[in-house]
Amino acid sequence: MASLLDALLSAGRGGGLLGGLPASWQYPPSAPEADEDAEKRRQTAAWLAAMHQDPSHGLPVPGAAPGAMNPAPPLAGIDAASYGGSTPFGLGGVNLPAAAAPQDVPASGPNLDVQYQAIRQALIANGEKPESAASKAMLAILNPEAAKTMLPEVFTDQAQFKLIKDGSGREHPAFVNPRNQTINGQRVADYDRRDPDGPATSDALARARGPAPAAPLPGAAASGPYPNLTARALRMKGVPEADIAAAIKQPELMKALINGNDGSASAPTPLAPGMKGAPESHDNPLKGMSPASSTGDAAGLNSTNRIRDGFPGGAQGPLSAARQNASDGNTAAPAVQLAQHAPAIPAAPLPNPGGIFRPGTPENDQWTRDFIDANRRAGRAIGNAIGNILHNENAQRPPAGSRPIDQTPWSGDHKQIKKAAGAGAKDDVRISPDGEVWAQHPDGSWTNFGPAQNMTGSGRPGGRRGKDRDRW
Amino acid sequence: MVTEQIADEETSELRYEVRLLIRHPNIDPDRITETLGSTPHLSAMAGGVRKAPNGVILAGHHKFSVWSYCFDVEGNRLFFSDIGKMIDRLEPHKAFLAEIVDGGGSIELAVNLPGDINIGDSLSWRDLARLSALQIDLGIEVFPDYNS
Repeated sequence: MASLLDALLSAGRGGGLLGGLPASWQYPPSAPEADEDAEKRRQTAAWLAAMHQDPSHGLPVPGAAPGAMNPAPPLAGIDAASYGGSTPFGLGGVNLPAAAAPQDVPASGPNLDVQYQAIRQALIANGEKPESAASKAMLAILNPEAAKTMLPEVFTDQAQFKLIKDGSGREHPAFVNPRNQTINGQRVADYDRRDPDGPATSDALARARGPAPAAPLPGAAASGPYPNLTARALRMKGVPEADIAAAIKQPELMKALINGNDGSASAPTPLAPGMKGAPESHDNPLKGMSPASSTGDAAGLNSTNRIRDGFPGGAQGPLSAARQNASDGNTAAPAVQLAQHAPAIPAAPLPNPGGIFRPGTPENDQWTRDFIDANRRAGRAIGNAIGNILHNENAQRPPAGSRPIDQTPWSGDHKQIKKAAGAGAKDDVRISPDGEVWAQHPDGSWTNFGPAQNMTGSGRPGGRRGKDRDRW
Repeated sequence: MVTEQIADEETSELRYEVRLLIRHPNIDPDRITETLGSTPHLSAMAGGVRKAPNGVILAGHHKFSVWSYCFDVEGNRLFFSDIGKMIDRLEPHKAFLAEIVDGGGSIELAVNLPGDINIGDSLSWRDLARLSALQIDLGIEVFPDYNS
């Protein structure tokens, strides 16, 4: 852009693209060139008079009938030979046969017709109507100051960063080009089809044409704020700039954008529900995620059909149901939250059943009850297993509550009972709660010898003489 | 005189019991009685009917054969002296005792001591060697409420 302007404006008289302008509009004519400049001014004035007759056509021939096509370049300075002699040239349907070129023009002079046609075409390409384009092109040729203002506008992207409000009042970031009438590089009609609930684009365009355009994003360039190749490719696919900006900082999102989940290049939906610019869908919380996550096996992402309440493959427990039925405020945060303003989507259950709960909530109470019951069942199972080992049916042991004989009223008969039982020095003898004698054998087995009174001659406890004899 | 009375009271408190207990999986206790020449206070054959000391028949049968002989001693502090005497009586039946032990039985020579007095003794290494030669276990048990 700058180079073009320099080429147009910086050259002095007799040089550069605008060097062929009338000398009176550029520099004061010098004495030897006065006659030549006067002739040029005469020809230009005649040409301009004819030009105003029909500005929609090519350059008229001075003196020709209004509206007639010019058979030959009317202006001095047009170098037909420089375009290949007899080779037809011209822009916008203007042909200048070399034979018709005036022979008195300098061989290396500027080509005003080419300049005019180039500017006119550029204006048309930028949305100007042909009539307006011709006028502005002529103005740019005749007035370099006007060209300075006009040409930058022609060669500058008019896209402006706007926040477009939709029907519900939410704002969507977009780049609006009021000249091309496009939003994010898409025509208004296409943009409306892309987002049925999207903003009112007509109003957006009207606001975009407003006198106070919003400041572009930091680092914004003519082709967009992220001019790298990946962003350019995504932009060519029709991905909104906001999505590209978000994907720059999120590799997974960038991958999803590149892959294109729905295979559509014009209307990609690569974002997770709830993310700005993404379609909101409550049907499938995983829809729109990366391809790996949509299958449920993405790293760290939850899958509603694989893990429930911490038990893979298990049925949905009351905890999960309570979570899903919980209000938005009680919904546990999903593992990956892609947007700050995510809608109230039913959160997938976390693998860890001990997620964060608010004390006193039904979820917490239910989880506590489940936890206690589970541990109680586990303890019972362990106790049964140990009991089966120690208290199997084939083994006889003193019943619970049996005490060593020296701690019973039968302590005074201890020696006598041991002799009667045939027990040794290291064999344990106990009295059961019902008064029966149990003696342990060297192999560890126990034998019930019946009531203790049968083991003594008197049939009565011999008593205890220790300090704790009253405890029995 | 007072000193002699105190000595007599202390001597009367010194008491203990020496007990020989033989248990075997299936030996006939009468054979033990015949071999050792002593009348046991308890003998039972493995698989025989169990009876309480008062004659009441108990449920089940004896798991192993048992033979027991014991005697009480009073007025003697050095209870291992009676252990030595028992060794003297058992040494002639060393082969028989070895047969019992080799057959899965056990022979225990124990001293039952009262727990209400101070009593003590040491077993000489010679008697320990003799017990070891006879494959006899030495047992010591204290009864807090010792009744003869």
